Amino acid sequence: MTLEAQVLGDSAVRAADGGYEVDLHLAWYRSLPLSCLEGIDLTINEEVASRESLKVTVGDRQLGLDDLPELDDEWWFVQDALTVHVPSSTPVAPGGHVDVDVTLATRVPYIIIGPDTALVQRTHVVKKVVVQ
Amino acid sequence: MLGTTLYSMTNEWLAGQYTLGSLIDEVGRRGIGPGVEVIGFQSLRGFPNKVADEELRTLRDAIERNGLVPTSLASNADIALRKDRWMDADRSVEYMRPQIELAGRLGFPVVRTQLGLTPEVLEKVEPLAAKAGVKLGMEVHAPEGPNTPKVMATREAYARIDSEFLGFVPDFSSCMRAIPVGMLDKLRRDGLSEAGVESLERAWQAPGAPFQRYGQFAAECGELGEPELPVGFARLVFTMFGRENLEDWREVLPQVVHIHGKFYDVDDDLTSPSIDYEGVMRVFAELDHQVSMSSEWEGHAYLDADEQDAFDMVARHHAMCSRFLGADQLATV
Repeated sequence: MTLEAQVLGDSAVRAADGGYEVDLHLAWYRSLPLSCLEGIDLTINEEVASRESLKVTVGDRQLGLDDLPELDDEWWFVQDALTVHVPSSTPVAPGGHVDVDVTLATRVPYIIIGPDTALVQRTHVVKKVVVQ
Repeated sequence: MLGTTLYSMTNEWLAGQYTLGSLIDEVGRRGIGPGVEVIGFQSLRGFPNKVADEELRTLRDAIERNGLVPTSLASNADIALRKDRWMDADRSVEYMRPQIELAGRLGFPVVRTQLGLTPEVLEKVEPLAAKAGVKLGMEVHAPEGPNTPKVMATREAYARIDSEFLGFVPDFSSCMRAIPVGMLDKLRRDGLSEAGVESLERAWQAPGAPFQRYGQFAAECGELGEPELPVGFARLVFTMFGRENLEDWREVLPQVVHIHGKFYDVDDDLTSPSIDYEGVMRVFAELDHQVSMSSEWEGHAYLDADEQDAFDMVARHHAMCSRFLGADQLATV
């Protein structure tokens, strides 16, 4: 339960140009490189963000999820948030509430559960938060 | 030598309640050292080859000012770092190299290793460990035990390489006597019925491979109409909580270089319902060499920080271990 509790903080969603910025935390006890981030499914107020529309902030770059498999030396430190830009056609202004539904899929690169298969940890969090 | 692994405080760490320095200060203040074990990829930003000098200084200074002793630096064998191209033996060796070298620089006598290191890799990293002056301790953790096939392959490799720098880190998760009540309560909160809990306990106690026993439980849950979430989460019950015989640890005692005193629960009478500590301590009291033991509380897998203070749990664990070990044995284990 506790790893799920970390994923989305109370002030994780900010209004941003064309949508929101969402701060996500790893649902694991240790840091992982971005190559292990297999997917982010995000729905805000029933508006489903497509995989292609999400942009992750890596240093001063904005990368798509399909850019991440190469980044095996770009680390997501376990205490840090990863900022994801989520476009929205009907963004809620700061102070308003939004329902966030997020599933984070991370490959755990040392837990091997079958031939050529590493554990993919899927963590699902549903939370109502105030837009910052 | 008793001590703690900072992994016990995973909840507090993830919540950002502590920095590396203040976390170690709290370990010192609560008197739950002297040993300190650190998971590199949890506690050190930039681990293993880009850790800032200031961060390393913070770690060293905090250990020193609290009179603590570095015992083990836990490494990881992340062979599936890339989905499309798993590490081959040479890449694994290069991945382990900076982890082993950093342990040496920081004065950790042991590097906890994982079963992902094949015999070929072990052969190639042994000289690195010897050069760094650290012992590689392969963790034997649930669902494995001291004589399950994967561990036997490592024991055979060790016999062939024959080096004092290769050993084991037993983790008591391998030999549990019950599923922790806190885990069952979490599954109940997630919607598992009492019939589902009974099915889980029955499958956990049944003979056979863990994934087969899980399959039996999942099939029964299908018939019972149990919700998906707790049935999926319960997979952990079969991988985190092993049912190997605690007496089997004797087979590897001479090669033990460090111990993970894994625990989930300690009652007011200083016994652990889920692990027979009296039995385990009796076996490890037969050690003929000095070994450190980290108290490793893993109840954070199902409890939040506001539900249980990890430092208190570790203090209780120390009290329990002291109850089962005489003063002379405390100095040994």
